[in-house]
Amino acid sequence: MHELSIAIDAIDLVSANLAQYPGARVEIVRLSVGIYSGIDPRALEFCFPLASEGTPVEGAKLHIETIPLRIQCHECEADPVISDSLECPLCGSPRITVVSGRDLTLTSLDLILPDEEDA
Amino acid sequence: MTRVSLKSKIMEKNDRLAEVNRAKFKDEGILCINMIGSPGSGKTTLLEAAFRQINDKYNCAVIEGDVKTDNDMRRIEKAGVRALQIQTDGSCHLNAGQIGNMLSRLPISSIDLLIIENVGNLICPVSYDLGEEYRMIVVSVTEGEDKPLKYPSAFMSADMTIITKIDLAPYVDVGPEKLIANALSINPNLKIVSTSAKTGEGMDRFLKLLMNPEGVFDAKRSG
Repeated sequence: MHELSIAIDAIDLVSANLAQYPGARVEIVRLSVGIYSGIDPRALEFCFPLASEGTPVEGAKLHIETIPLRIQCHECEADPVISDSLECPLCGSPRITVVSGRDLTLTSLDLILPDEEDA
Repeated sequence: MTRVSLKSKIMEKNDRLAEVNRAKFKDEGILCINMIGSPGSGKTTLLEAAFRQINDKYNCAVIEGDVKTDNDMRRIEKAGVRALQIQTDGSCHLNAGQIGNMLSRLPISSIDLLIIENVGNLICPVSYDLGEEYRMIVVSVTEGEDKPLKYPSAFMSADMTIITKIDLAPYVDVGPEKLIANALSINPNLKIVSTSAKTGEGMDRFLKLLMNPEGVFDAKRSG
């Protein structure tokens, strides 16, 4: 259960970005979670409201996009493909690099700025 | 509503500290291995057996991670190797900052091999780069041959896998060869060694891997 640590890190990162938008309220926090990042999105959703209590992020919704594992094969040199192992699903070669599927990224924020609040 | 696009890595802070550690290991010619495995998989026992054979030839050190107690640190010290203990007090993994703090307490310029024995857990430590050069997954036959399929992220992120307790395989109806095949189906680049710290089987190969993961590690690499 390290999702609580991850939720706290994500909230710190959001808070740091908020410094540029004084008085803004966070409506939505968007994360992308690679399926091999070692993070369980459901556990992260569970921890997020708890971790955001008392922070500028409190009350924000969390939207998680799951990113599949995508690999680039250096043997058959096909375009990057989705795979469920570190082996090229097309030619079976282990000579691959991971393009995506392991990362954990804060992709965007939806903010209500003070002048939008009254609208 | 205003959308702010960020694309920031959430592990950024840990990853930055991990790079600081990695640079330090490189400068000092230290081979650093991050050892990850379930509680009771035999990580400490494997190290004890290995150190009995190599600690007169190489300068080794261990950073132990556990939720509570310094039992493992004391076991490693008893095997004649310098050890430090991190007690996480509930946290399920080590992070790069904790390792950085520990490095100031080690005579790093004289260390050849640094093993970080992570908190017993096959999930959480996987997300935290500690700055290691190699990641080792330790899995015992008693955990079942489908462990790599159940915990693919761990095996996917690793460079090597050590199978332990193979002397017990006949008693638990587990085929080590199936365990190996499952690990390779997730990550075909894994270097895999089967061991029994009890009977000594496979320990020679394990030591070879430890001393020479890519055929380049021969004592102090930076001279």
